[in-house]
Amino acid sequence: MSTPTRVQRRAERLDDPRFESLRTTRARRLLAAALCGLLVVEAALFVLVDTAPVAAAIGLTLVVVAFVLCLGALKASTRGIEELPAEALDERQWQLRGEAYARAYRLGFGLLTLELAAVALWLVAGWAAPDTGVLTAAVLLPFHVGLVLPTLVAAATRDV
Amino acid sequence: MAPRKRSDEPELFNRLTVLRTERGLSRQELADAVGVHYQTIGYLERGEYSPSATLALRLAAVFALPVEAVFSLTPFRTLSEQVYGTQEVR
Repeated sequence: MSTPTRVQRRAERLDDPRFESLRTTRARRLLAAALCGLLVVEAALFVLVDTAPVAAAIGLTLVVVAFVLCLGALKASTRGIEELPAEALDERQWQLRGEAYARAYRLGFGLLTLELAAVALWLVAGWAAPDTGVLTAAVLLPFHVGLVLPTLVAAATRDV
Repeated sequence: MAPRKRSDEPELFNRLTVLRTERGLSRQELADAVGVHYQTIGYLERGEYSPSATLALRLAAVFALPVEAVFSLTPFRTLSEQVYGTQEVR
């Protein structure tokens, strides 16, 4: 018997029956809502970086830990269909992944358009340059959103 | 999770549950035999997912039957109807 590859081990871990309680519609939606909440908290903490740096740093550390745990649970709830390569999925799962990515693309494009519109408005209105924290958030948050969007969409929009 | 069906997609009927039970196979065993996730067998049995031609042929091969004996675009007659020629009471 051949040794399982890294992909196979990852697929088995994400398909672990111990996580079955996370795979109900309610649990998936709660986890997705929690992750959205963490993104909002992260944005708020970046705004506080200039005024209360120590509190913001402690808060951001806690948010990162919660973010990793929440994302892990969310990936287990979707069996990692949005992450695993084709050889680890069957044809139904390929279709689900395709649907999740198409929806995430549209959503991500909409969010990016909104962000660019906000930047354009800021420039046109001639408002003062924002603080370092806000600028960092403007760069990091879209990256984080892009990172979790397919998982969020797969978990939040599909019935198991 | 079953992929979303297109509104114009015709319903595909199948005898998977009957055949699988008849052969004493679990969903996991049938899934392993055709190389899909065990949940996919459940979605197929409930008619919530229509398989590709390749998967349909593989499933038919497991039961050693022609594909039209396992899948059909029209509802299959019930077992009692086939054996005794009676109509199911609705």
